[in-house]
Amino acid sequence: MNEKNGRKKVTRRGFVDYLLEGAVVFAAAGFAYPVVRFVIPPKETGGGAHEVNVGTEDEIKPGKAKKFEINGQPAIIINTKTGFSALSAVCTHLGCIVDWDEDKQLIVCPCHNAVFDYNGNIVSGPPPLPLEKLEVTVRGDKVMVRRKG
Amino acid sequence: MPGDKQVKEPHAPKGSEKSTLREWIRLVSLDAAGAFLYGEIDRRLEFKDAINKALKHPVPKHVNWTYCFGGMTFLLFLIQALTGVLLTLYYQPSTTDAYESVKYIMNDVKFGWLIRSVHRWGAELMVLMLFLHMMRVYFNGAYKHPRELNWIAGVCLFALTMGFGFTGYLLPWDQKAYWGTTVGSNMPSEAPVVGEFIKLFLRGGLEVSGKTLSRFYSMHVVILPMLLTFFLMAHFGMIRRQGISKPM
Repeated sequence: MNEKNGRKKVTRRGFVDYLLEGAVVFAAAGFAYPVVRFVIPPKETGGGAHEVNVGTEDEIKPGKAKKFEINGQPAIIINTKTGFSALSAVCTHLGCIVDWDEDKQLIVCPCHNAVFDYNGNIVSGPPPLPLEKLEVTVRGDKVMVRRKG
Repeated sequence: MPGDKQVKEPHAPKGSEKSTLREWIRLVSLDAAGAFLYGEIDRRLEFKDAINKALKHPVPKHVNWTYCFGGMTFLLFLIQALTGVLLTLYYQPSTTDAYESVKYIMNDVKFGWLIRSVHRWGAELMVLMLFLHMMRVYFNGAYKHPRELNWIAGVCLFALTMGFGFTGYLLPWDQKAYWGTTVGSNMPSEAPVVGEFIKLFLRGGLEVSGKTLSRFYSMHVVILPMLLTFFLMAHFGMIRRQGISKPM
């Protein structure tokens, strides 16, 4: 391209070149866009709701527990002597997913042997905080769980 | 190095903010990207001549559009590779999850329907183009001396492509896939002596099961691509070495 007074002068050929390059970029973007959108995982459905229907009352037997998802986070509900107790299933130590030990009637973390009681209080092990408590409401025979606050 | 003194610095005198800005604009514009590739990198690696030699390689006069089928097969293979890699991001090769993950790709993943459909139809087209390419080579007698080895490499590529089709067919794990593979893997059992072994080897067990799915997935995304790449390199290397055959 010719230089004139320090500014670039656009020639006919240069203009056509720009148009061609633009078309190439446009086409490439057309191919790249679906690929980029494909690679980004879609939003999770289910468990994203503010309040989650965990199941029916007689579905979770006394002394047993059930895992579910709330706001995309794993959670656990236990049928205890004093009624339902719902907790976040994410260990406060390093974020592993905790399990309900039916024999001991305690919550244990598989990673570093953290032990919690059914209210989420620390019994032993490395966790710095108790498990986050969730709110349980029984409506009809449906067990509903929501986050506090 | 002492001999490099005559190489001039390509940048404008530093310090002035305006020229730095202009430099940046020049860099992000496409023109500059080309200039960068052809200037800065070529100054170091000197690949421009090699690229030009490859792109401007003369082709004999008798070459017409029927000579495009091979290249189209290769282009379709590249598309299959790209869309295939993308599909592995979501596909789960297990009896419980395979069908669900394919449904997930088709219904929930953005443009999942597009990527999977391109992969599916690309497969059909690739076989079609491969067939046309083979017909062209056959009827031109291009397989004759001294190109016999390239014909053999081509036949291997044909077999591998069929293998891609056969193994890929099972992966959605729907009824058609399951029974198709049951019948397909039963066929070699009719062969004498080795038949039963081939059937067992293909299935990874007595029946078509999760073991078959793992096996076919491994073949489809790891083993066959590696073999195909090897034979493609041989195929292209030989055609470059020997040139396109003369008309009969």
